[in-house]
Amino acid sequence: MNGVTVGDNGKVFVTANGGALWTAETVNTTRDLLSAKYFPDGIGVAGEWGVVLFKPSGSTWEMPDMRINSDITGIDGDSFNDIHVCGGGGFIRNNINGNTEFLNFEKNPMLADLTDMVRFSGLGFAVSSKNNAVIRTTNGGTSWELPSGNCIL
Amino acid sequence: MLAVNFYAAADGLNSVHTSNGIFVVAAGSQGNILFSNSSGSTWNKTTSGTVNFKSVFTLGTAVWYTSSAGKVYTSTTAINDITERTTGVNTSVNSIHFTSALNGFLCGDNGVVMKSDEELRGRLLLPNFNSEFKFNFF
Repeated sequence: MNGVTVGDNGKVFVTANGGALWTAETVNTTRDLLSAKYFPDGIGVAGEWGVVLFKPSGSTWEMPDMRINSDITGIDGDSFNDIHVCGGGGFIRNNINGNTEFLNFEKNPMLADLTDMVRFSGLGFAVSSKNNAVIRTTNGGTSWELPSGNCIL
Repeated sequence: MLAVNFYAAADGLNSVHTSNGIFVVAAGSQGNILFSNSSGSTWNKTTSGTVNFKSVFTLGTAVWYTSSAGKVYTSTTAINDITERTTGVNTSVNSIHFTSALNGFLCGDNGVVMKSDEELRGRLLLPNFNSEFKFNFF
């Protein structure tokens, strides 16, 4: 079982044997890393100051220019061709259709710092540390909604 | 069904998870837990004291929560049976991930990485490392 853990100062450790042995990875950042995802085809990590790093299986680390200084707190998706990230300011972006700079912006109704996101097929859910609402997408991120019963006062 | 509102400045959700797209659970500060059995169409809210939940993970009928005070909590997806578990650490546990009902990992501040073997007593510390961890498995 493969796993990845990330931490302060650009620390990344990976395991290929269910956590029995963790090996340090060298990445090109000293920013604090806040989220990680082990995709079927590689590793994705995200962190403060707009840092996103990818390591396709059998390859080296790549660092796309996200053009933001906000913290990226959540990373999820089905594969390297379907990565979604969220973070400070309330943005949700993805790299679908080969958009390697993540310039696909997913419209959502909650412009508050997003702290986490989870996706399951076309469904997705995201939360903020600023409120107790959960936003949802049912169409892969084309649009997000506050489901019925939610309200932000 | 309960409306989901802003409650106070200290409120907020730190983590959300689903493993099947139907049951969804979110947890955050002030012991707040929101859960849905309808793919997020409707939500229920409960609280567990004033725990600052840092992470939540669900698999099958089980739910695991971690807190800023080093605790792990477990429940079923009914969310009416939250039980505190001792981890042996006092610092923040930032992330938890299970690959089966009995096989899980957690990590947190000060380089703590633990495996669920022996009821979370299999503590592992990464060498020469002091950091706040988050992680994911595949």
